[in-house]
Amino acid sequence: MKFFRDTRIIFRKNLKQYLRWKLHLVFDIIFPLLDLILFILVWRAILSGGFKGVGYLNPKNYVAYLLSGLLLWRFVDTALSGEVTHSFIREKYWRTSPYLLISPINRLAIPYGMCLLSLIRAVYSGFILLFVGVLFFNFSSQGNIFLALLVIFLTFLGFSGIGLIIAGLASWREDFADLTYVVNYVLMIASGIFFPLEILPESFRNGLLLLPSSQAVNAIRAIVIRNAGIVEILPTLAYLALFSIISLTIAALIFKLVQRKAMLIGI
Amino acid sequence: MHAIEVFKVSKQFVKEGFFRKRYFYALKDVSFSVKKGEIFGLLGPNGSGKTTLIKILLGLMEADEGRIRVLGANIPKELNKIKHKINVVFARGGVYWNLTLEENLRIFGKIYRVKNLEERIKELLDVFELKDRAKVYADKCSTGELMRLKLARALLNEPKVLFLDEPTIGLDPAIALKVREFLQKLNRIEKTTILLTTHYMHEADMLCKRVGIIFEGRIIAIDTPRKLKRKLRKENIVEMDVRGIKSEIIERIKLVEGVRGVVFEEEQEELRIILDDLDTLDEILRILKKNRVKFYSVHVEEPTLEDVFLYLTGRGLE
Repeated sequence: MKFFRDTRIIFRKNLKQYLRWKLHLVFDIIFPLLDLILFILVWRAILSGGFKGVGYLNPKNYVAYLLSGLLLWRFVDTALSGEVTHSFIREKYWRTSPYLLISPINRLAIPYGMCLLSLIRAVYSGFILLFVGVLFFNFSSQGNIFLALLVIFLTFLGFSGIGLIIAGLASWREDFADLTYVVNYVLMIASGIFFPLEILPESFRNGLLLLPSSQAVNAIRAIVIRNAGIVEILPTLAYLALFSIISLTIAALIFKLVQRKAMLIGI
Repeated sequence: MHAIEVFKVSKQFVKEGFFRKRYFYALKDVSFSVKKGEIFGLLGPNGSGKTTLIKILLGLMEADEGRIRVLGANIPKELNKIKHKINVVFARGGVYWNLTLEENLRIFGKIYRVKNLEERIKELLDVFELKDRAKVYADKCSTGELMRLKLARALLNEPKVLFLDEPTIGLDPAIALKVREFLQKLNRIEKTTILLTTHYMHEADMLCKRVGIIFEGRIIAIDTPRKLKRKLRKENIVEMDVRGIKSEIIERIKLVEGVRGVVFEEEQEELRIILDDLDTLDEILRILKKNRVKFYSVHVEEPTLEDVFLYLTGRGLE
C-alpha cells in the first residue's frame, strides 16, 4: 500500500512539473503526428507507383500498418527516453534527491512514479494518433483491443526497464543519458516501425526480428490487421514478459550499485 | 539522554591523480554527542568536513569507521526507524524550481503523512512570511525566500532532531537574524534538538549551547562558546587600523614568535592578531614601522569565537 501511495505522490509531483510548461503537451504529439502523416504520404506514393507491398504492408492497409507501429513506438519511446532519465538528472542537479532519500518514502516508488508519468504521456499521444487516424485516414480494426493493450503494456514494462537502467547510469554519470538517444534511434530504425523488415537481407532481418520491439510491432500488427488471437500471440507475450523480467531485474541491480556508490562518495 | 552520538567516525576520500590515487581524510576520529533539546554547532571553514558529517549522520553516506546513533537508532542500518522524526536543510539546492512554494511543501507533507496538511502548510508559510508567495514558482523567488521555504519544509513533520547545514548562508542580515530567532524559539518551545553547521561565528555564539570546532576533518575543541572564549585572555587579541599593508608583511608577522594567528580584513583595513603575550606587540609594531605601514589605532579586544578558531588553527574561517 505504501509503495502505491508513494508512487502516486511522485507521479503527481512529476505531472505538475510536466504541466508547468503547457508546450510539453504540444511537443508530445507533434512528432508522432508528423511521422504518421509523412510516412502515410510516402507509402501512398510508393504503393500507387506499382509496388505491391510486402508482409503486412500493402495498398489496402498501409494506414493500419503505420498507425499500429507508431502507436506501439510511442510507448517504447517514452519508456526509454521520456521522463525517467531527465527526472533523475533534475533531482541530482537540483539537489532534491537527498531530501527524498532521508524521507520515509518507499525508494522504489521514486523511479516507478516517474515511469507512471511516461505511461500517461504515451497513452495521451497514442490516443491523439488514433483519433487522427480514425478521423482523417479512415482507420478501423476488428482486432482484439485487450490483446493489443496487453502487448503494449508488456512492451512498455520491458522498455521501462531499459529506461531505468539508463537513468540509473545517468544519475551516476550524466553522459550516460545520451545513451537513450542512441538506443532510441537504433530501435526506431531496426524494429520496422516505418518500413517492413522483409525488405532487408535475410540474415540481417533475422537478427533484427529478435529485438523485443520488432516482436511487439509484429504482434500488434497481427492483432490490428489480421485479428490474430491470443494463441498466435502467446509466444510473443512470453518473450516480452521474459524481456520485462530481465530488464527490470538488471535495472534494480544497477540502482543498487549506484546507491552503493553514492553511499561511499556521497550524493 | 543523547539525541545524537558520534563515536570515532572517520571517512576517507580518494583524489584521482594523473599517475596515482591520493587518499585523504574528510573526517578523522570524530566523536561528540548532542543532548536532547540542545542546539549544537559545528564550526569550521569550507571543506573542513561539516557537510560530510551531516550526510553520514543522515545515512546519505557511509562512514569508513566509527559508530553513530541518532535518537537511539544505529545509522545507517536503522535509519528507517527514525526517518519520520528527523529532517534537514542543506545550504545548496533542494527545491523543485518548476513547482510553487506551496506545492514544494505539499509533496513532502504527503510523504511524511502530515496530519491536517493544508493547515500546517498555511501555518508554516505564515511563520516564515511566505504567505503572499505561496503560489509563486520557486524559480521566481529570492535566495532568502527559498531558504525560508526549505526551513518550513524541514519543520513539516515536527522533527525531534533537525540538521541544518549552513542555514543562513546567502541570506541578507535581517532575514538571517529572523531565521536565528525562529530557531531559538523552536528549540525553546518544541524542545527540538538542532545540529547546525556554520562558518559564521556570531551565529554559533548566538544559537548554540555548545560548539564543536572542526578543522581538516578533526574536532579540535568542544565546549560552550563562553568557555571556549575563556581560553583566550582579553590581552591576547589586538586589533589595528592599518593602511598600505602588503601580504608579505602579514606573512612576516605570522612568523614572529608568540603570534598565534593573524587575520586581515581587507575592506575595513583591520589587522586582528592573536598573541601569546602582549609583549610580542613591540616586535610587530617594529615590523610595521620598518615597512612604513601606517597604523591609526591599536586596541585590545574581547575574544570572539573567531579568535578562538584563529588561536587553535592559526588561520581565519573564510
